[in-house]
Amino acid sequence: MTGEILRRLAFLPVTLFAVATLVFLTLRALPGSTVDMLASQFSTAGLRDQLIAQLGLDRSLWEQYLIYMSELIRLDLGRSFITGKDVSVMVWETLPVTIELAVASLIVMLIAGLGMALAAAARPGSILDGALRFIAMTLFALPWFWFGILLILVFSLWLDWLPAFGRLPSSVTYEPITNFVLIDAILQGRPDLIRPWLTHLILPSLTVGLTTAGVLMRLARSGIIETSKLDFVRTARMKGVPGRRIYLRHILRNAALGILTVIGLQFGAMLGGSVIAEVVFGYPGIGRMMVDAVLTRDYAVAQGAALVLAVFYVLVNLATDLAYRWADPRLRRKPGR
Amino acid sequence: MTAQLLDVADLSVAFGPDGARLAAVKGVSFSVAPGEVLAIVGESGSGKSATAMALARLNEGPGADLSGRIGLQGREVLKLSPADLQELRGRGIAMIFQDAMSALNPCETIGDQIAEALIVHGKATRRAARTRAVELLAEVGLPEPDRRAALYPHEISGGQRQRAMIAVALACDPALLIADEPTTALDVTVQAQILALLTGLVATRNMGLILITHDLGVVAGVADRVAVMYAGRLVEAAPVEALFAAPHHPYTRDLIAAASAAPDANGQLASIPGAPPNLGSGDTGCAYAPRCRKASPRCTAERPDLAPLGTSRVACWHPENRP
Repeated sequence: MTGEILRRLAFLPVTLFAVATLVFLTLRALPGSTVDMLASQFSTAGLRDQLIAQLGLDRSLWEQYLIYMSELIRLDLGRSFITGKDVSVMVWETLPVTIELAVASLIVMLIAGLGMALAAAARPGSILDGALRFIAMTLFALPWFWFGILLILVFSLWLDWLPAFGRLPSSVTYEPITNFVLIDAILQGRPDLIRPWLTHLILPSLTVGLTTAGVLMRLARSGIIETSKLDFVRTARMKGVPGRRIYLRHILRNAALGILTVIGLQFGAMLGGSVIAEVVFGYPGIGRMMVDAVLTRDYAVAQGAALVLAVFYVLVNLATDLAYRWADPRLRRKPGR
Repeated sequence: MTAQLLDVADLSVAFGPDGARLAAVKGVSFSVAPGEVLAIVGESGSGKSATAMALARLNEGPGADLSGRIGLQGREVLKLSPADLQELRGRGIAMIFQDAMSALNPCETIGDQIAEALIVHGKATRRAARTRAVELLAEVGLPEPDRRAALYPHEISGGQRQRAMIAVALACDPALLIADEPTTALDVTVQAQILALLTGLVATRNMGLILITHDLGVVAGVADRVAVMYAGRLVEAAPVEALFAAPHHPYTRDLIAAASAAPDANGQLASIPGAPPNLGSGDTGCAYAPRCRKASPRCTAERPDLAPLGTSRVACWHPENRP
């Protein structure tokens, strides 16, 4: 098990190298430059050239790449071209926001997706099953941004129940320690933070969670139905095990292995997918930071954000694999056997 | 006939969508006494497994009908409520399957799977059930049973898995054990061990055993009585010695001849010409008539019923070896 973790972690630098190179090249293939953004306030060509030299954009692509890589090896993500802020500081401020959103979305996805799957798979072919499959298919087919806007329209504009924008209202003073609101609320003894934080979190996490719940529902449902046809389920019936216990202990226990993989993959997708939700809901996470940086050609920030998301994605996949190994006795190796 | 454990009369099993049911088993009758081994023999598709499953109503459900009468220890199995049926399974009747690897839950230890039967039937507490599971594993001849109880099905060998499967079935002391091709997936030497184990258990526990097989060698070794099935019907039922010494039904005779014949000069094994009929084909006359050397016009026009002949019962207009 430890060997497997180390083996997988050893691949992390390779993945990151590829991601870094790809992001580096893609950004520079885009037309336009930060200088256009910054220089619009200046007028002389001299100032413009000075700015280009300052940002190192006068060097050849190769030189820029080598400088970037050598900084990266020293774990230096560089500075924002526009604000001059350390990119690592910016990541530190925005990554927890995205993690909060992803975890909340995961909870929504699990409750909605697994709930629908369990109800549907208990009686395949029933009216309930058909209705739930239809709902899942619809959720699955909805574009995230569209669903987000719909939720804003209904719950924010028409019903006025929930806020549509941001992470905390500006009226609330928040001095971050960890940048996780829930943890800080406990550390600082500020229970008043939790309510506004939660109300802001509901719509974006519903957007991401419900649209991914459709996929989870369909895969979990078919997994459960497939498992219920296996021979050991017949053995359990032969033993006289009651139906409910067969469902929980034999069918779900075995179907859970496949569902675990789906959940892990979906959670990884959520990190990337929350980019859309963050933009729609003005949620100040790392995804929105990356989008803004790409739009302003703030290379260092966009590169940093992409790298951090890649690291996170790899770690989530690793965690999923390890969870799978732990859950499936056939993959668990016992010492002394 | 009064002390029968199992009494099956006119059992039929039909599968398929409503309106297009196909009969897999057509009016089968037989009985089993305590301590007796009945072998049900037939080719693939003859309905022997469907018969076995039907005894515990395991193949009942939407798209599958059971009819007829199954009496087990004086209870009408086909009339039991779902709760009573659950109670019966495991205690009155238990079953072991061909492939123990897929028949055991891969995510639970062997000990837990044996213990579960005891727990759901309220026969033991968790702890007592565990102890009993180890005893059962010892009874079915698994070495180091206390260590093996904590292992998962994939962690033991095929023969040991089948022993574990038998222990699962025996957990609640069933009056009748059904073994559906229990040795087909095993090596020949392991086959013999498992069969010896089963016959030993029948003797010590005075349990009835129905052995479903297509292997006449197995039948000759362990069965007391044999029922031969063809195309969903019983064609001959006889004590094992009588069946092998003087088979009455031409199908039984051909089957024994094919099984005991040495390969010919080209290394070809003997076989019965032709193939069994499809489930959906017509049901007049004897199903074996198209392949039978003794078939007469009467055989295709009129179906023979199972009738006594010596110590046997046979469904044939022209039985062989008349006494």
